[in-house]
Amino acid sequence: MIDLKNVSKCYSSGKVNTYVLRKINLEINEGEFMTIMGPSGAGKSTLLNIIGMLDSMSEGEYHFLGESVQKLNERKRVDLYKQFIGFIFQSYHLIDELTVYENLETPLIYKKIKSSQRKSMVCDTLDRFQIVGKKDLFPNQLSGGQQQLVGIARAIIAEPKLLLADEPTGNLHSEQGKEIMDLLKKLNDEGTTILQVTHSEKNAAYGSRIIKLLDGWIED
Amino acid sequence: MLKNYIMVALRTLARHKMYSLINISGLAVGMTVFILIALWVTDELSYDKFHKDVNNLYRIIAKGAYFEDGIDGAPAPLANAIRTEIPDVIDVARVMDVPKLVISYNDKAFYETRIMLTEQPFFNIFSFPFIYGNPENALSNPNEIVITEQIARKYFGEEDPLGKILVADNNYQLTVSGVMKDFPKNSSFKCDIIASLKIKGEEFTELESHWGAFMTVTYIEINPNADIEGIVKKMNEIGEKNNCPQFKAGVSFDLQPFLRVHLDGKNNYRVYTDIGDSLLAYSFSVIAVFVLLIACINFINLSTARSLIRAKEVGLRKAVGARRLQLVRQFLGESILLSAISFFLAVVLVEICLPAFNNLVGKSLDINIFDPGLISGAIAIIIIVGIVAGSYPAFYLSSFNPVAVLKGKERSVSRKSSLRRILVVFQFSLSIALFIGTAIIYLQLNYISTKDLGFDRANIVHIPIKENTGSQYSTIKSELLQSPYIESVSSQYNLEAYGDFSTNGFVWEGGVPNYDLTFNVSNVEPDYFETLRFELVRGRLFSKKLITDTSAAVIINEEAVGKMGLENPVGKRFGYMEFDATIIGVVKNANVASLYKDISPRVYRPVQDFADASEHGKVLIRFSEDNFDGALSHIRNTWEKFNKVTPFEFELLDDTYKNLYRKENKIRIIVSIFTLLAIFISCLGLFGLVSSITERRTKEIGIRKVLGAKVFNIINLLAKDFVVLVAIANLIAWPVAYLIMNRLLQNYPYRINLNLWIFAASALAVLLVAILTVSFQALKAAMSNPVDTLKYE
Repeated sequence: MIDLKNVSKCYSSGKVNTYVLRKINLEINEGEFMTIMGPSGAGKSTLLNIIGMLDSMSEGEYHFLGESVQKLNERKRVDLYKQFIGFIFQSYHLIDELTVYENLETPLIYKKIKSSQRKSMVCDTLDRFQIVGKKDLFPNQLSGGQQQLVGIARAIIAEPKLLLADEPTGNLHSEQGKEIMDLLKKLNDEGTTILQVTHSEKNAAYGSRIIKLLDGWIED
Repeated sequence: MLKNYIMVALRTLARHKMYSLINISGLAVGMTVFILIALWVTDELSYDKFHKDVNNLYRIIAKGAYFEDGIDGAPAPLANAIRTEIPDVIDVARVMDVPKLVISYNDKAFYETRIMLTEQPFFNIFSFPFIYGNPENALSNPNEIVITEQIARKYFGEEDPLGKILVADNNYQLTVSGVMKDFPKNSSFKCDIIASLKIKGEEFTELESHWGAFMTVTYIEINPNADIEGIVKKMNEIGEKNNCPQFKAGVSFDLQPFLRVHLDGKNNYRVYTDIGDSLLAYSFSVIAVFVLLIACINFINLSTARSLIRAKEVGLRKAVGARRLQLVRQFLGESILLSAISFFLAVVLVEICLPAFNNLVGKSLDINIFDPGLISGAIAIIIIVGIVAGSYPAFYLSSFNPVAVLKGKERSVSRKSSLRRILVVFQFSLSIALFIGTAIIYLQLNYISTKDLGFDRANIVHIPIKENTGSQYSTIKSELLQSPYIESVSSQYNLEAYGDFSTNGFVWEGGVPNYDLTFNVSNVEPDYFETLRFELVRGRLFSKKLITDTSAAVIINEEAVGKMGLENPVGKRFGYMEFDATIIGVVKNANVASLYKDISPRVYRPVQDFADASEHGKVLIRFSEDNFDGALSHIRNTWEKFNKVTPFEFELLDDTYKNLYRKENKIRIIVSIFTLLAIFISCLGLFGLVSSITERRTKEIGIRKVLGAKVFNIINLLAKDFVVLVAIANLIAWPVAYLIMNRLLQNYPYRINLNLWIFAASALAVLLVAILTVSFQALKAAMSNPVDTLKYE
């Protein structure tokens, strides 16, 4: 599904080039639940963002479902992205001006799904996550765990093939964290490919494969 | 999608109330100015368009030589010649104006000022529908008149007006042969009574053979495909052939499209015309656009300065699959929504301001919300303002990198502010330039309305020479002088401030042969100079005791002496056709006409019989200071004793001169209001900018205070940048204002000097307002307790 070859990412400030990722070679197959681990600044999030097409790479090749990502224009890339990828953030990141219902609806709008179908998809998802009662609340009226639940619901509402999670439990206490991880596991069992970034060994244990990053290199 | 966008937009507006208020109020005020001016300009441009085939209608003007800007007059016989000699001209009509008359019907009597004389073809050329009577045979008899609906109601109430007889000045019997609909508001012709040219009898017959008197205004309708230049050429050949005397001096005829008359006719004001000013319409339009632009800049600056607020949303939307163009559309939609809200607020403001504005511009503009033109105009304004204000912020906001903003690196994104600085400089350049312009208009008007005119205009009241007051003048004068409050009384044929008279063809002893100098001519009573306190430079004033002084003497002004090329003019012979006199004195130059005209050579002729005084003939009465009321009641009693026909009226000479600049005074008020609004909107934007920066730097301010910064240091930190920008704006505003105002002032022979202090004072005033605006917000931040601000970071 995902095939990275010699992918590097560097930032240049003035004359100094700082590498955050160096010559990454990585293959991820459909149905995997993979974990990226490593200390702060190792390049975990950058790798996730590149795979999620939110960030560009400096060198190398990236094939997603056989398509060469670096050769696509913005429009094609966004189309590919919104069709197959969902994103979960550490700090939930919901749109503050929209209610839970509207937050869930937003990705569907961008996918140009018809209003009636949107409605049923949002209702199904609300039901599935048992947050029907919260649908008219704004993000700041929810607890952190509830917000992350909405964040995950939003990420999977359009039924992505790949779910990218950047420390999904980072801001939650352990009880809530466990619930979220159980949920991810369940999604994986249902067939969604998951790639998570985490510090926690416990969370990593949910996955089927672990890679470790250090200073931009993949450790063997 | 739309619903989602509108929801976000409204909730964002509601969440950030102060900024929404700044944006909406700024745009609403800007739009109010714009709508008012747009209504006014649209009305000006709509003039006369209602006439059928209006593009085939023309007015004959004369230009060249002394008719520098062109005049609307043409010789009366030209019309007859055109009728027979130029087949491309379908119809010709001449028009003359008449001084105000007393019109009476039974026991009703009113002054009527808007009267014009014309001939039947007038109604063929122009489309003025009749209610009663037939335009095709209107004015067929010399004593027939056509009146408007309003006048018919005024005199006859509900009675049938046709065939009724109105009496003018107790003398002429006028039969109503037609009643026309009231003139439309946007007609450049506006009058109440239309009479026949032939009512002038002999006088008109004489004019009809006189090629040297440009006394009638001539309108023509031509064939749709006629060659205009050919018609002009033929008209000039006719003038040449008939030895029109003005042609020798270089005058020629030309055609002016009738549609241009309203806007380009400001030199040809007549009692029956409603004349606008194209320069004014254009400059007001420019000002209106600028004020609106200043408000749009507020939106641009505040949106980009506060982009942080929306950065996270942008990042998220991109993360869930939004393309950049979709975000651009969303933000543009928001600015259009904001523009729409402002517009509706502006419409309310316009409704509130319209009566005062109408009063100021002398119109009766209104808003008809069902007018399709108005609706499409409104939609256009909303969209254009939304796009102008929203484009840059939309592209700027949608450019955010989702990874950067979601990771909280957004602070680095919003620091770039060179465009913001440029826009602030632009806003304040406009505001300061407007302020300087307003200040100069104020000073100039103040200068011309208080300038020493060369005679004493204070404590003089004047009354018209009307009806029998002219023929009984000497009796009336001695009666007036009975009052202890009246110091002196004198008369003149026409008050120059109302209507000056000039002619050429004079000869004088010692003059260069064939040197033809145009003189202004004032026919005055011999004691005129004493009453108005003129200063004598040489020779003597008129004396009533010398018989020769009543007919064979003239006094000239200093300007004439210079232009005539005489060393010592006193005692020299001076003549005009059969008139032969001696120059007995020279008076100091005086600005008896308006200060828009430079002093020109003037000759004063003595007269004692005022029976034939012109429409502007006046009795000038000097009353002793502080005794105006006593003097006035005596004048009124005297008037009523001698003149039972015409109602009493009077005016102070000082007011007469002030009224010459009434239009300019109104412009002054309008321009000052625009200027204040422009400054207000600019400062509103400045206030918003400083607030947003203060918000962002709360933590920094807290730390600085903990480290020992004083309140003044903090204010300096926050406000300095903006004060510098306003100062820079002066560099642009000064030269621009100087060039424009210097150019405008060239129209006035008497004008103020553009001193540096006018610019400096204006700049200081605007700078002060800006400093106050900026400091208010900065002071609040500087006074806050650092513990509070740091705790929450």
